[in-house]
Amino acid sequence: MIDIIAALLLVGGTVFMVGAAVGLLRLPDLYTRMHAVTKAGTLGVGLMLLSAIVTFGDVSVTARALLALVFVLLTAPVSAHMIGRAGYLGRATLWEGTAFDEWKTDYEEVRREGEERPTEANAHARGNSTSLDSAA
Amino acid sequence: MAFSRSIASVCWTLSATLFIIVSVDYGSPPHESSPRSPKFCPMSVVEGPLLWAIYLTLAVLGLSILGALLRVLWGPNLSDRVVALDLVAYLAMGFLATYSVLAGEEAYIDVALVLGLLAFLGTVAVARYIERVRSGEALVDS
Repeated sequence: MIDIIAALLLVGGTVFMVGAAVGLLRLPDLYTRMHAVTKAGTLGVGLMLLSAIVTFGDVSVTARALLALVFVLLTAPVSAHMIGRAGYLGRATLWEGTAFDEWKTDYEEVRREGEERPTEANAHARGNSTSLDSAA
Repeated sequence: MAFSRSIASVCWTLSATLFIIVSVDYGSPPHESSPRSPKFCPMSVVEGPLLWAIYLTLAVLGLSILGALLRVLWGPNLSDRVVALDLVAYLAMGFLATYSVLAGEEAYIDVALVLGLLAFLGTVAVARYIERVRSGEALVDS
């Protein structure tokens, strides 16, 4: 019974991993590829580590595998966010079918200057946030 | 620009190919006749559907690593290559977890943990690097 559960978890993780690899090869854009890699890669690693936990049934293996699982779940969004931001600032081309580009107006100056500087818009936003905090 | 792009592709591909060779070498199932100390003998004998699932997983993960390396080779941007190497690290983590089940060896779970940590640190470092050198278009848009 435990063998069958572990085999099903392994096959499910394999399906997610293959989805991530096919998405990485077939999707048209940096951001869509990042979407495929982050979600499917995290779920695939998690299912495979769960399979190892079920198979061993040991406290030490469970602790280490859960530590690895929690680490991947915590760091995958952070690394994806950082690499996406770097790709956007490094002028990675967007797909032609992109619906809208929210950073198009705000970050053109940031790109040109090389670093973010306090502007009137930032000061305005900061004032709004403080007023909201004081109101709350 | 073309020169730096080709050099970068060759470097990425060579390092990843070395990794694949090493993983395939250690990924072969343990032989019963090989002289080993009893400490490294597999503790649990895997058989039945779990064994076939493990073989399927190892084969498919190897093919997926090859596909991700194709994206490393083709990727039009440095960010694409970093994302593809991130996926290679995830695939290697799954490979190590699966192989720990096959070999009955707990230590590969630790290796998978360290590999995930190194992949996160490398991705963050390269992301900071791309943001720092974005004034030089040659490095970023290669």
